[in-house]
Amino acid sequence: MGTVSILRPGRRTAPGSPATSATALDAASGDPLADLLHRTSLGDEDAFAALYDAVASSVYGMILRVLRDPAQTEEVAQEVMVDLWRQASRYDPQRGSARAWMLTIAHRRAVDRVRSAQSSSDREDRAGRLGQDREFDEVAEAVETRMEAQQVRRALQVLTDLQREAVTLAYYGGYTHREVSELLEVPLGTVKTRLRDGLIRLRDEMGVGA
Amino acid sequence: MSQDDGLPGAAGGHDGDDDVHTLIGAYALDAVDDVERARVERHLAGCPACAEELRSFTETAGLLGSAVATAPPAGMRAAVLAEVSRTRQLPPVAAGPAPGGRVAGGGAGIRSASRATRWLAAAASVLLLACVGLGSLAWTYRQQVDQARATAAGMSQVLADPDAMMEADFTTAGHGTMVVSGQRFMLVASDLPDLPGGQVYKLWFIDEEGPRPSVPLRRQDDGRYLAETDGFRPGDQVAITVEADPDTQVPQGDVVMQASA
Repeated sequence: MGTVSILRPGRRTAPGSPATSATALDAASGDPLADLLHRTSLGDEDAFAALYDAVASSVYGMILRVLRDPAQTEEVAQEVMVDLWRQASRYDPQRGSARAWMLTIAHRRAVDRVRSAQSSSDREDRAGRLGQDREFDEVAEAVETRMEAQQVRRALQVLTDLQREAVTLAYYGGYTHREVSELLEVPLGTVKTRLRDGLIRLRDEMGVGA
Repeated sequence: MSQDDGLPGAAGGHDGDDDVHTLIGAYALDAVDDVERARVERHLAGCPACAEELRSFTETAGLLGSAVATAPPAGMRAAVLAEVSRTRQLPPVAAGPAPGGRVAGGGAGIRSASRATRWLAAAASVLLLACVGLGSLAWTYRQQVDQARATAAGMSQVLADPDAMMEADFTTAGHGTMVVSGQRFMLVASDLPDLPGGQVYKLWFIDEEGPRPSVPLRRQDDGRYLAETDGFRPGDQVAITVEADPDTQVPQGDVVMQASA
């Protein structure tokens, strides 16, 4: 993982493998990260450390995609991880998986940051320079060779070019659907449709449960 | 789905439910502005179908995030763990199912009975105040402020059987004391800066569906500000903003006070 992990005696954490961070008790639940989050909410710093090892790469990598600047990314990613500690008690399993909850928080924070940090003209310049194809290529390059990442990359291929372009600009670019509409020079309703249809295809392709 | 087609980037501006349905996908990807976000979150409260669709979209978006996982820099883990060890956590909320919606802002919520019970259980004691992120507000937990206690005692005489009393500092200057009994809410604030022409301090109650507008604070002859309303619901968080438009239905101005139990 590239980090120095200070392992406490008697506890093994395997970065990137939430399953192995779970104790036997945790494994009883369907969502080991949810159990870690629950223990974190009770002040368990070891549980939080395991949570960090499980999600920090996703948090950091996704924020990096949106912000592009490594220094800002580290700052925001650190804020997000500390904020996950702070508001761990706010996670409600009824609303979805722990991972989705955490990444939602991270994504929202990244998007807020990129929108406040850049004037709209800067952001249009950036998108114009990159072009939508390159945006997606950079996403593909950044993907680690993990099964989940491969699955998502394959799923993205199932989208139409137009859907993939819109979803990429929105999620990885941090643009609002209005900004996407302006960048792509298509009507607002078209963008909303592409985003929604794109999500439906991705969801069905990746077998996300209802 | 095509009410606002036409010019690229054209502002649809329609407030019908149809329009909001089409925003669910964009919302799941955070591709909405704050006004649209609030609209969607209000809609989610009353539309289980959209809430369920959002849930699946949120899971999907989470996978998009995992797809680009990248190892963070070497020092980050230690820095995070160090900061965590000196960071206070939000206390657990009472358990209660909240179907659908996104945690990061809103969604359908059933205010469960256990939430109200927890609120009532905190009766008559000064509560630990928690900062709830509408921004980073500074909080002070006060136990021995004679003036505030006198105020609270006076207020609690007005409200028989107060459920809870809270005190909060404003980010500008000033200090507020709040008393709650059932749905009745009273606030007295002192040492608040007077606002220039037309602006008001406006009270908001916040639950999982977002902020609900309440009354403006009324300036008394002695310079203190007072608010009384029946609009409180157990479990609400409380916020005060400075608003140029006293009738605004969504918070526009700066948050100067925030409180929760």
